[in-house]
Amino acid sequence: MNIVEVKDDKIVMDKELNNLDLFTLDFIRILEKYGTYALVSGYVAILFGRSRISEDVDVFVSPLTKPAFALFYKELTSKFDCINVDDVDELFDMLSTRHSIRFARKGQIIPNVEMRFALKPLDKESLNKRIRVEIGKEALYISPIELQIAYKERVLKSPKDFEDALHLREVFKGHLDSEKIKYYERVLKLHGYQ
Amino acid sequence: MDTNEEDREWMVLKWAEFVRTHPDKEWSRQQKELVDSLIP
Repeated sequence: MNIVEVKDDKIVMDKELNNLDLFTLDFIRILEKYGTYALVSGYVAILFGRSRISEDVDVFVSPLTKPAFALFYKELTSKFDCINVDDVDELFDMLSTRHSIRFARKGQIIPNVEMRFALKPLDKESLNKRIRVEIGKEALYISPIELQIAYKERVLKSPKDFEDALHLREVFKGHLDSEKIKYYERVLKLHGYQ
Repeated sequence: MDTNEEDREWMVLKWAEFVRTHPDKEWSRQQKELVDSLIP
C-alpha cells in the first residue's frame, strides 16, 4: 500500500473509493455529528484492500443521550431506514442494553451498518485509541489495527477472520506494534478469550 | 491445515503483498471492480 503516512493516530492513503466505502462515509458523516465513533471488524480489512465484500459495516459509537439519539435518528432516516424497527424509543432501549441496530439505504437491506454503543471496556478502547484515516478530502476513524488483529485471531476466529488478520498483518508489515498486539491478546485472555 | 486452507492463505498473502507494494490507486481500482459488481 502506498501509505503516505502512518503515525500513532493517523493513516493517509490514496485509494479509489468503492461503493461500500461511499455507503460507509454517507452514514458516518451523519453519525459523527452526534458522537465519537470507530469502525471495527471486517470493514477495516476491506478499507485497506482485502479482496472481499461484507453485507454489514460494524461501528461503535459513544453512548448517546436519548434526546441526542432522537435527533440523530431523525436526520439519519432522511437517507437510511432502520432494519430492526422504526420506533425510536425501542431502538434506544436496544442500544442501551448492548444490542446492535442496523441501518441500510432506503428500500434496501444490504449493505447495512451495524451500530452499537461502546459499553464494554474494549469497545471503549476502540474509541479512545481510534485512528484517523484520510483518503483525499474524506476522513474516517477506525479502531486500532493491533486490536482488530488480536480480536479476529483470539475472539472471532472464523476462517474469514483469520484471513482478515493475515491481510492486515501483511499490509501493515513494518508499521504494526507487536507489543500492542500482545497487550490486547493478554486483555482478551483476561476476558476469557484464549 | 488442509490444502484448501493453505491455498487460500497463499492467495490472501499474495494479494496483501500486492496491496502493500503497489500504489493505492492500482490495487483499489481492482478492489472497486469486485465490490461495485456486488454492491451497485
